[in-house]
Amino acid sequence: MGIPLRQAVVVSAYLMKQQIKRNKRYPLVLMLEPLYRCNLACGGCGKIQHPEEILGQYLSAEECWAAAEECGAPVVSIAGGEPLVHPHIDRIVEGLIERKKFVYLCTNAILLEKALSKFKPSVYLTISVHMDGLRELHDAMVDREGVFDKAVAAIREAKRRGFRVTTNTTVFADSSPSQIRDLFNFLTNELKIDGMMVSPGYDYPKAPNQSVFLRRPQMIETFRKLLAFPERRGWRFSHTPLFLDFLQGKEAMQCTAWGNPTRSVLGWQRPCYLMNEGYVTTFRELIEETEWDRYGYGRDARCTNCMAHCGYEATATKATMASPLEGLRAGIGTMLGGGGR
Amino acid sequence: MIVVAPTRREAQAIGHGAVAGATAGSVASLLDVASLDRSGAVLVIAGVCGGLDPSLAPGSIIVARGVSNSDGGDLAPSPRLLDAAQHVLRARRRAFVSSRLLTVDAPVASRKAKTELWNTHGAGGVDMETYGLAMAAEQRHIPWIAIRAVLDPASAALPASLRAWRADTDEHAIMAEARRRPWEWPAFVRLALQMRTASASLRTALDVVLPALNVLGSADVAPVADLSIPLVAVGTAPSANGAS
Repeated sequence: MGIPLRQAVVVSAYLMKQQIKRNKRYPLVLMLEPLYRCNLACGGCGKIQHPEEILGQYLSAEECWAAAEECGAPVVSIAGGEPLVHPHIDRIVEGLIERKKFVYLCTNAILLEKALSKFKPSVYLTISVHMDGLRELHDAMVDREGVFDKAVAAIREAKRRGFRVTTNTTVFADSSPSQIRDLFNFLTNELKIDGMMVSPGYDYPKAPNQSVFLRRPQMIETFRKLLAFPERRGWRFSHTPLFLDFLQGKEAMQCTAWGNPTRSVLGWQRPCYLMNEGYVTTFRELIEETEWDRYGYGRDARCTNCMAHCGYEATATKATMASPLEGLRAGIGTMLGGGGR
Repeated sequence: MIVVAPTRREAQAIGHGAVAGATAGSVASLLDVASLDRSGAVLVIAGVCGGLDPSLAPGSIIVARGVSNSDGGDLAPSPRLLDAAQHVLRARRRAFVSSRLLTVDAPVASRKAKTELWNTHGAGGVDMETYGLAMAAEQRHIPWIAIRAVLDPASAALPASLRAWRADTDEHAIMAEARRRPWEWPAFVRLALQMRTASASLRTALDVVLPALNVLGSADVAPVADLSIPLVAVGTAPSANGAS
């Protein structure tokens, strides 16, 4: 199943509640970055270029729980940095689960196999492993040999122990549709992964290698080819069908930047997970004092080549809730993991 | 200050002395006279447009930070006018987006066509006149700004009888055609209601913006006017979709 049934029900109920309350802007997924430090230095990453004094900072477990409560989003995605480097990541996850948050623990999986004993399988916990390709491509994207094999071993062990494991794939200019197809076939057929997320890379100005990023027309072309492969029917995506349509240029969408608010060691990041115009101290400040209409495709040049799921999946989710037909389609997609036209 | 609305219907809705039924000749002569005024003149292009940005509902205001056409032409409004308009709208807490406009030759009628234009151009709205009017102002060194209200949103298709609309089409011919297609009447009723929303929204925005532009007006008018350059033809027909 692309996402657990219980998660689908809880998120749907949350969305309905927001609609009844006529809330115009509300979060769906809290992007929690309890640290920026990482044990990799990927060419397409714009998160780890901070000075040492910031890389040495960590959010405490209490700060993480407070952020989740303040934000109120039903889903928390723990990113970074590499979360498994955090000395209290197990406490953070446990506390979030106690608060009935659906936690996505995003990891490059280098430390995962050893860390598994710190966690207990739960319907509220999903381990989301970064996988950009099969061995050669993945190791090239993360700029270190052997990472793919470690990740695959960790995924197998996590699955054996009963954890729910998904993957997160970023599509860059260096990855061809056939390479991504091969990866998705491997993840689906060999590793029996529970769900896959896929997103085009965002052209971070601070990323060391600027040549890896796709432009918007290239992204659409790449995803049209990728999602036209016949095997695609068997792939289990953790996305709404509408988001997959959007990636193929079949649906027009505007970004919902407030859908995935980001809390890092520096505060609540304005305006979104990918762009940084500074930090505010409270979630309320972020939502109420950001001039959201300034941002988005066609409005801000930095958004021109962004089709990332952290901005558009929230749009797709809200549109899905607004349409009974799309709701039915997404329901089938949730059960079977497919979707998209 | 000259306020130009491409159609009589839009001009009436806007008020503010907007030039109605803007034919190429009438706007050309106005701009020619304005370009001689060394104390300064400003062209405000106002009207409705089709929505391409899917987050924009009927009545959403677009303050253009650029206008392009399908041939790749690209024009930018006066930065000072744009800044002033944005500043005053923000100060008065009037909702708007600062996006691009796309000018095309024919109404963008289907949802699919709107999606393709959105993906290709990233323009918030589409119309049939802004580029031509802006070019005419540029040729006379008259600073300009364009403010449009969304009429038909990106998610809505236009009635088939409007799809043949061109800049020189007679509105009565379109309406006569529509009368023969009763199945399209609900769509026309919806458009009429959206027109009311868009007009009210545009008028409210202009109530705020025009006084601010009037104060600025003369500051960035170039002193030289080239009267030999002919004006680009401007549509006279009433508006529909981006077919404004």
